[in-house]
Amino acid sequence: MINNAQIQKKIVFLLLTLIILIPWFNTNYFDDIKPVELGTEDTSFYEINPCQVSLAEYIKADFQSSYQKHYFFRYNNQSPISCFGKISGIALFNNTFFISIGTNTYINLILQSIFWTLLISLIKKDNQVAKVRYKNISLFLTVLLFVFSIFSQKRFYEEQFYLFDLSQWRAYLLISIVFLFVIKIFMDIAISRMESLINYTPFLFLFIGVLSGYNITFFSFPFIFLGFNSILYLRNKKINLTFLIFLVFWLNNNKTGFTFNTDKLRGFTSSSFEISSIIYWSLFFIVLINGLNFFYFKYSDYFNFEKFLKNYSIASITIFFLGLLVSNIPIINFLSYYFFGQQKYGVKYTNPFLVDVMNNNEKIPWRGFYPSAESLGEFYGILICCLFYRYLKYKKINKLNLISLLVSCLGLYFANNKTVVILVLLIVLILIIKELNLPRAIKSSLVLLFFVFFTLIVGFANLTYPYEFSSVTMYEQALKYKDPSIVSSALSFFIDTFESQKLPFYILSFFGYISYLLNRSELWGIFIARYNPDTFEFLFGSSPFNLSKHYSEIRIVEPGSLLLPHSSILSFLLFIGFAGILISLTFLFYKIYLSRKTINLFGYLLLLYLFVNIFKSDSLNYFSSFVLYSQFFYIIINKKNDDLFI
Amino acid sequence: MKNDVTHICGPYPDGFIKSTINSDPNFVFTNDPDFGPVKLWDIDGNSTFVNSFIECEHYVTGGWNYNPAQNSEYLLQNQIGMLIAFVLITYLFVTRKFKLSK
Repeated sequence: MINNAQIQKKIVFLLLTLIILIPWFNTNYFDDIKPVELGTEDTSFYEINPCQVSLAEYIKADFQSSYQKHYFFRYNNQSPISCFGKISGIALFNNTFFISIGTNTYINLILQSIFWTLLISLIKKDNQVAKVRYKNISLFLTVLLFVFSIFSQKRFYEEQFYLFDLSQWRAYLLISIVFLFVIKIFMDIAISRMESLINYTPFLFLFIGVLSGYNITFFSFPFIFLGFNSILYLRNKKINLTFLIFLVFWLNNNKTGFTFNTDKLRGFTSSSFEISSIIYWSLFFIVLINGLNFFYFKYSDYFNFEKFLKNYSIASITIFFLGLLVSNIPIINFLSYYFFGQQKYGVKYTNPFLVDVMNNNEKIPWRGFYPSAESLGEFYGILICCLFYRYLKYKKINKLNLISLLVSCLGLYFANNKTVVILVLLIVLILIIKELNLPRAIKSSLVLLFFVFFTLIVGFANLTYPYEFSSVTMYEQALKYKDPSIVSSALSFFIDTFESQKLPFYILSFFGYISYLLNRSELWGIFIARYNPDTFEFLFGSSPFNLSKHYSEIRIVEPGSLLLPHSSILSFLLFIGFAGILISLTFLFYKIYLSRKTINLFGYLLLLYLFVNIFKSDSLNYFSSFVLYSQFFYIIINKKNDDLFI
Repeated sequence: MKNDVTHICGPYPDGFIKSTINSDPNFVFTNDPDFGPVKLWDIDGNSTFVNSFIECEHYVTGGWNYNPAQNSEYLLQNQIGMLIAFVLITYLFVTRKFKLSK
């Protein structure tokens, strides 16, 4: 007997299939234009007939382009609505065909939102749905904030929308209607599933949810909604008051308009440094923190480690295999960008085992499906630690966990995140020693083995260089990238400190030594060469999620591509300043101290893992990692770990 | 209208003086080699090519400021906006009724 839920699921699956397929069949089937196969160097047919042939027709005529590696399908969001899903142009460059598919930013918002809302609707409803107070006003404020995000980053959106005059109210009216529609329906679906959603956060690495053509992450909607809700409940008054004080300084810091190419950070970074975008991203940050806090506060009781690991395992396996698919099959590369909401197309390198022969056969990090190899490595690392802990402590592991464990180990190798490998080995070693009753000799051998691995991974030579040499490499790199005509205030401070050799010199050189061990000398050196704050900016930051000023203000000898600071601490030094970081860390350590009796060994090890990665990677610049990390911090600190990780 | 001229024909050249073309039935437009030809449409869908800024400005101010592709895009945007608004209102109505019936 088929019940209502099963019928509903079938309908949802049907709708999802239709949304995936139908847009690419959009064409006039009664005209005389027949698609042709791309010649070796002839793209003339598609130059003469732009927006006349649908993607489906084209694939039918030239099937090899869907799987051969010298074809790349690319979205063109600035196409007319009538051109949606059609070939809007083809370019040949270095024997590679770039096939441009017409899409439209306005339509993307509707299509992608419906797709992801339908996906969320597949999750089982909560048994009891709590009534939400201030629902309509929270909804209204959420819509208002996201419409304001378009207004505040006009320069970014003018390059994304086709024939949308963002200086006229008509454009905002149309956008508001669609935002209201998608947020209202999504929130209705999400609110009734909140208890389950707390166990689905690993899926944010799979369904990244960045809307094509927007600097918005779809899955931030519920947190922003809850954030406004929390503020209306007058929760976190002290924290919000602190934020307001910071906001005054952020607004005061605004000097010149800078822009930033959002690239792989799209959806979670500001595209410009001007007053309206500072207001938007500051509000977004404040409301997001409130929303995440409220979400964990209300629903962390429903966190179920087993369900969480099941979802984590499914997500990791899918991400791994999708990585292989997107790097090998152009059409999947194209479709996954749209329906998973990637910030960046999947990697072009088809071989994940590639090594750099010019650099001692160093493994080239392979990011596969995800925009950052480093963050992906961290994602796999957490899963490996959790699975090991669960097996060692409770002897619980199933087939799915085993497959995901193997896949995660391979994924971690592909990502080549050495710090995570060392951390995982360390955590596994400590857990084995603690949980298994092994003879002393075996324990000692394991510790010895760990140090052998550690030396091999870091490189024996790197550990033997004198401190005087390795501690100044970061400073030397900063000088190397300095433009002769201009010196940043941070580098100027470094130069004075290194010349005077007083107390700050020893602190900075120790920091330099750490950067050397973590292989961050060059990246942090570049950061110093660029970092140019005045006193207030150093203390309070230039505004949340804003890298525009940092990357535009000081000219340096360009490294060739966008190199992020590779430290979330440094990113947040730009965002919330030294005072902000100090307050956050003090608050966090104080909370850990207060909860010391409820945090178990595994909790501490996970905290160590998170802190080290925050220190040496950009993870917190990605929405998925931001949510996952904050969730771990919250539950480890606020819940009794022995009851949590079972 | 001045916005339309700038949008369609490009920025006004320095020292541009509008000639009194309407009062001269024998006026002949001279082609400007530095001006890329621009296609203009009137409200009935008739089209013409203009080859100088003076000619373009004259036609655009005279009502040849329609762009069928642009208009159809605006129309589609409006239709989709209205459709979404209609679906949203229906959804709100249905969910409200459902809640009341519960």
